[in-house]
Amino acid sequence: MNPQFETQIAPMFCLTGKVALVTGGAVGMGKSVGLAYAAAGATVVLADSDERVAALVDLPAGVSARSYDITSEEAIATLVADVVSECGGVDILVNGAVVNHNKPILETSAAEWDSVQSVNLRAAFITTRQVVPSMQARGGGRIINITTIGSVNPVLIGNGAYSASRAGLNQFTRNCALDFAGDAITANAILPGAIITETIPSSLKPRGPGADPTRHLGGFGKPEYVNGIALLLASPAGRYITGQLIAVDGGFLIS
Amino acid sequence: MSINTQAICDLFAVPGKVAIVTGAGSGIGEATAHLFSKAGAKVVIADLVLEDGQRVADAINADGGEAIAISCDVSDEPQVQAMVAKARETFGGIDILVNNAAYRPKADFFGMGVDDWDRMHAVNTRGTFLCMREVIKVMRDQGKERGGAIINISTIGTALPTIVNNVHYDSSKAGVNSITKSTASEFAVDGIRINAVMPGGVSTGGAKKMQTDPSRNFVPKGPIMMPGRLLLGMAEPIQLASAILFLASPASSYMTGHIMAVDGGYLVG
Repeated sequence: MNPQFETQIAPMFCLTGKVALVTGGAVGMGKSVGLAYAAAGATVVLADSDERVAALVDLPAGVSARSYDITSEEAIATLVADVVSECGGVDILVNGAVVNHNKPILETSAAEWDSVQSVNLRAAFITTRQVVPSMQARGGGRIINITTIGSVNPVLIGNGAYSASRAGLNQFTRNCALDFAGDAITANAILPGAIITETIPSSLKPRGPGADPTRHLGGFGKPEYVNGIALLLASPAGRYITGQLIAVDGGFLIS
Repeated sequence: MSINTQAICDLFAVPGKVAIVTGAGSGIGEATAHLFSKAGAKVVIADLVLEDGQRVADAINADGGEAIAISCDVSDEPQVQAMVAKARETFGGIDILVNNAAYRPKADFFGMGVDDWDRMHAVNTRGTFLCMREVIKVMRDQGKERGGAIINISTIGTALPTIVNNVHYDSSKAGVNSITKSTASEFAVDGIRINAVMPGGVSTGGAKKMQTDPSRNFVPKGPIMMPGRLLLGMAEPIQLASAILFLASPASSYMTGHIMAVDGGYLVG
């Protein structure tokens, strides 16, 4: 390895001494980003449902997992309080938790609509509200929300509730960037494209522009494709980037 | 918790890559050239002013890197062709192009001559096109497996107004955004990724000179001069260079056609 890389570049992307809380952290992009943060030196807490946390095995040093009920305000408050007390605080929050029923709009019940907004938007708000005081106390922080390119342009038919929730999270991200800039807290959203994760049900029969493989100029993606931008946004190198919605989509939005 | 430097290196290093950075004799381009070299690249410093470019190349070589300086007016077709040919000949190929060279003098909207308008578009828009055309020829020639990464430097002025007397500049850079997306779509099949960075306020020599040199007869005014609009203050060139390295490196392997603001929150401020 180039010695200059080790001494001068690596520290720019390094997370030594930082604590990262990743929701939706036991699967897909959340897990991938959490492990990348740990490799960059952070202490990482992966938060997810009971079932998903139970399925996690062989976590590397510095990474722990915690289960909670993401629909409960009290459970989120307890999660954050426990992480702050055990790890000393939180410097990086990744709101990666997501649900998607993928149902036609005319067949989506109000209860299903509410459940999607609850996980994808309301929980991100509550978690952010709980975490930011710790970031303020520690002199700064990074909020990274994982949304979707479907929040900007439709991708699949049947994603009405999901895309609306993610568009809400985009704008919440931009407002966090404004509200917390004075605290040296940045807030950005990553908009993944057709990144294939284990959480996509095999029953899903994708229909719509995104179902055409040729629209994804770089082909379908893997969860680790978001690690680079997630690390840039969390690291010293990314401290001037805030309020941005950054597509990691193999060119779908321009196809 | 120990750091896995190799993991960071796998994402952000560009070992053995050949990078052309235009306008690299100062400011964002100079910071990018130095950062690329530390990340393992061989760097071609293309600048209108050879002595500025040579100073940067000398500093990189003295620091253990590999760089050459080439004098180039990017608006001049034969000069661009000669620059790209020399880069390829010297280092055996081209993997990264950063179109950073820019013409920036402000001009009053009513007093602006067509020469001012044309010169601005000749350097910023035509220059970007010419450099891309010549470099993409080489990248395609090298094959899809090797591919390439191109980063165009635009401005947040293309998204929201920042400063007055800058209509021609913003127009020329909006063209750069458009070139970025069109070429990203067209050359994805060749494994070439093309993205743009929109800087906000950056503390470069050019920006400082613009604000302090009385001979330029320019008093900056406009939204960006309002207190607090740059939420995180002015950027140092290294902050732009970091984002440019990200877009040149494997860390952004699934990104193309994206216009990324690195603006300290101006667009939400």
